Amino acid sequence: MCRIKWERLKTYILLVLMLTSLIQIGILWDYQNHGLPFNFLLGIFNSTGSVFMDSSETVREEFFVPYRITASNGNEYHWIIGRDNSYHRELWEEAKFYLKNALISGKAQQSLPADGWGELITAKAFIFEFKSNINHQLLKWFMGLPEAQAAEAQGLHKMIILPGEGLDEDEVAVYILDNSGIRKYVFPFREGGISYKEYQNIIARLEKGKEWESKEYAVIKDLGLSEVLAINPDVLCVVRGSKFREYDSIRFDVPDRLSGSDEVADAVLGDERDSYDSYIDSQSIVFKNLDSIFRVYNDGFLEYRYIPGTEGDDKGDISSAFANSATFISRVSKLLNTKADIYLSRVEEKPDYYQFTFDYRIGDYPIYLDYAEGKDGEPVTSAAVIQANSKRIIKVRWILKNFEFTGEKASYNVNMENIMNDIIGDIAMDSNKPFVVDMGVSYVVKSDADKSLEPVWYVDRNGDNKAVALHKKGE
Amino acid sequence: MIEVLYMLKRTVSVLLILIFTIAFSVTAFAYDTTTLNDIIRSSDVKPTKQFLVMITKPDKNENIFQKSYIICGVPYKSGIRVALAVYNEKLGIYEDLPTIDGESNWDAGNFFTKEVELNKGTNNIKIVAYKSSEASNPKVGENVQVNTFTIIVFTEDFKKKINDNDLTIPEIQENVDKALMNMRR
Repeated sequence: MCRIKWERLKTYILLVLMLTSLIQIGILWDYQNHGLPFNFLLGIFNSTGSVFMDSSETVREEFFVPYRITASNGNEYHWIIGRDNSYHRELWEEAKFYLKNALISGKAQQSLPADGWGELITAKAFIFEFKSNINHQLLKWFMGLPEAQAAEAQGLHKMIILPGEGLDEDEVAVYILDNSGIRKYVFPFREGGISYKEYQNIIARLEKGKEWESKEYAVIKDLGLSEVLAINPDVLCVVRGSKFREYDSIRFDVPDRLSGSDEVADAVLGDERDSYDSYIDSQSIVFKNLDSIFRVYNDGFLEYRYIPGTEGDDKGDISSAFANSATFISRVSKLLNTKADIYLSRVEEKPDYYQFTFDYRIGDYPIYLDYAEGKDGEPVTSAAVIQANSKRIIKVRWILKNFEFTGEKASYNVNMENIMNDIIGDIAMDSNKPFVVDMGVSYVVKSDADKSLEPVWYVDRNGDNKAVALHKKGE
Repeated sequence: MIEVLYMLKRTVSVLLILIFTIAFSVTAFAYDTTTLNDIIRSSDVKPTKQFLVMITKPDKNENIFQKSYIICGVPYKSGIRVALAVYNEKLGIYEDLPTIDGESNWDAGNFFTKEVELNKGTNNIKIVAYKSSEASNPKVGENVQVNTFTIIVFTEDFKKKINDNDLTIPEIQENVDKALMNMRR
């Protein structure tokens, strides 16, 4: 009897040992990022088990914010609703509600070609713009919708809430622009949300409030130029009131925290730091294991490579790929002590992976990077570029910089007439020159030599971009 | 006697030729002395095609709800100046319409946008574009482009009433009819 009990105990101990060795193998296997055969353990322990995986609701909230929200009174006046204004959050909450309804309800009331966008933005409306198109899978992930729940393959680039438009006062028209065109949906106003009357009141306050004068614009469509010049009809321009508006300069530097290898290791490697070897050379801190290498240079250039590459890998779904990327961005951002934030500016689908581009923005002004070459010898045109598939991040190039306003304000001539006279030679009146996607006041970092930057007028031509100096008052 | 009559006839003929010559010369002389100012002021000058400047705004007659109005154009060639005028019904002529910067005449450059303050009601505006190098010898349709537009400014009150749904359909119709009548005038 005693012997049977002893044998049973030995069996249990053996089983526990087998299980723990299995887990041990799985952990080691996963360190090497092969991902198989024990990924199921991640689910069981609800741990993401990778340097990059720590997806959360906060990450969605952080990155699913429009690049710009504008309001139009239907009479050629448009206002940028800054991110520091309470209307921004209120309007975006409303927009997300209608967007979710559009995705769930499925059938659009009407489909329109993309070139109808110009007419819509001149109506009395609220406009939500992302810097580039978000495809329907990623959009569903942002909205927290399961794949099966969304009825239509609706992506999102821009969106308009149009209260009124010949509808009943209890209905709102929502237009969504994506790569395939425009879809129109009509919904009853959100219960407890912004009513028809309140939308009208917001516009009335924008029209009358002195504080909104410096945020007031026209759009290219209002000037009849969208039919003449190769410029997006919704590009904002200053044509009324004073030619001069006040803007701050900015300064930037390399984050202090990059000099402490422990802090860098915590931010870059998270819980996985023990599985990496690290060393410091004259110009960088390096973290390395069998198949991954991180290098953080003294000048803020962060580089990561997954050594085995992606050949033969399935890129999987875009939402997991983005979750990996955004989580990494979010965690490493802790190294920064900056007044700028980082936003998703481009999403590209490549044969073996997805590429996510992120850029810096301070206040409501974009910061463009334009280094002739980074530490890897390649040009740098964005804050961070991440290549990822659903399992892992494959490559990262990121310029880590702190940005802040200097407090040295000056008045710059941002009048459309003066600016266009400087740049019209670069703007096509036919298809010979690149299409202007957007224009506006921005900051451009070209090198680390001058760490103080004045605003410029930036012409975004889908990569073939151009920065034009703004003239100061009195110059 | 016949000789006298013959002489008289010759004299009359010569005189008639002289009178006709002078009369035609006077017409030609009058045409030559038309100044740019006359073209801008006159309500008789007919609009031309847009061959010097493409006026992108206004591109047609418009009804608006605010006094501030933007005029925008892209010249086809360099060395063009643009003058802006508004019709004064009492005087029967066009008068200078200064922009908010106080200029009613400017170099078109490569591109221009000008803000003007219009009056409530009907504003018949005239945009005259001309080659600055040929300003002393202006010829409408050759080196002078003339375009006219009617911009009607509705009152804020009218707009508010529409927004607040305080106007009945017939009342809105009445206002629009008034605007259309003004445009046709």
